[in-house]
Amino acid sequence: MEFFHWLQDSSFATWLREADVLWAYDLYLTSHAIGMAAVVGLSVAVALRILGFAPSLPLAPMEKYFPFMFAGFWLNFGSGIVLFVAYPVRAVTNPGFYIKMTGVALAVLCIRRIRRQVFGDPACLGTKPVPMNGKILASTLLFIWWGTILAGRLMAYHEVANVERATSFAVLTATVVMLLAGFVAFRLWAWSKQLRQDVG
Amino acid sequence: MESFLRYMLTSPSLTDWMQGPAGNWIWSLCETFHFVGLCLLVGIVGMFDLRMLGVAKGLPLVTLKRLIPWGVLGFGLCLATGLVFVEGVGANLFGDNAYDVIARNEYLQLKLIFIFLAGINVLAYHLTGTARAVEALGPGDDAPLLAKVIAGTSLFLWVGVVVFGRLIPPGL
Repeated sequence: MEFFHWLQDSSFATWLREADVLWAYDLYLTSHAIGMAAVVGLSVAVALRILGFAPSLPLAPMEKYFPFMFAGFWLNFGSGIVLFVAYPVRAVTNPGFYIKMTGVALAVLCIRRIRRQVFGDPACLGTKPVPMNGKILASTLLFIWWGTILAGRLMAYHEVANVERATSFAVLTATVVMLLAGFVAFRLWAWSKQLRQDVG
Repeated sequence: MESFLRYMLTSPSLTDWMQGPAGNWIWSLCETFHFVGLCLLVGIVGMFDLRMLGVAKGLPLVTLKRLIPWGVLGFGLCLATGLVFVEGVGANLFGDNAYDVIARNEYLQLKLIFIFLAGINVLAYHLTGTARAVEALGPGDDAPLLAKVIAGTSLFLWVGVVVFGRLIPPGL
């Protein structure tokens, strides 16, 4: 713990926090948001395809997006270290930090597994549906990112009474409601499509 | 005009609810879904833009287009949560009005301008016939120059929106 206090009091960390220039703390905050959009956004898009959305999209060429995902990851690794150095004591005393780091590690493992297992399987590479194993991986990735984003956001509210638990419950409820609504909407769309084909 | 905007940019019933029963969770829930939405939006629109710029040429754009509704869902999440932020800012900044917040926060102004420009960019994509030209591309084909310009502009603008958005809270 002394180490983290020393780190926090270091001149670099103090400069990061107190310098009123865009290339201090702000630069690393914004880089972190960009990296998140890249790694989460692209991996979620690939996961959606694996789950069967846009099924006529050939899967193999999507492998070209993995380098961009990992560029986002490394951007966040680097900016994350700097963000940590600015407020180390706050980070290590916040449970959300550990949950988020675990989530990121699991997500990266999941993405690598998808690359090996799904993109490495010749049967999946065209437009045939991906087998259930791959779909389970893709769903797991979505769930991990969802939890990681929530944990990351809640890190800012550690000092505020009740917010973490109330927000987690509310976000879970809202997500379940939206998934159900999406499922119902999908069934209605599929049903109306079937009707139109029958009448057609 | 100012008083009209001031009227439109507040919602006392929403603010009361956000300070009262929803106080513990509404702002952080909106922030969380704002992040989810932005990942969907930037990820999927970014994937489409990158293809136009020459990445993953094996993907036919007429089929990649089928993922765009998820990007629109992301935008919708951001729009809805963003509206709660604007209309409900008085709940977090105790009595402040979104009109004043927008007037004094340059990053919020820039973010709104960039979102507007991104919308113009999308209009240009459709109205100049670029959409039709791009959807006619098969696997391996290179997109026309105007499509690449529109794609590059889109990436620049949406990354800008994310950057400016992240810089709003310190200035509030």
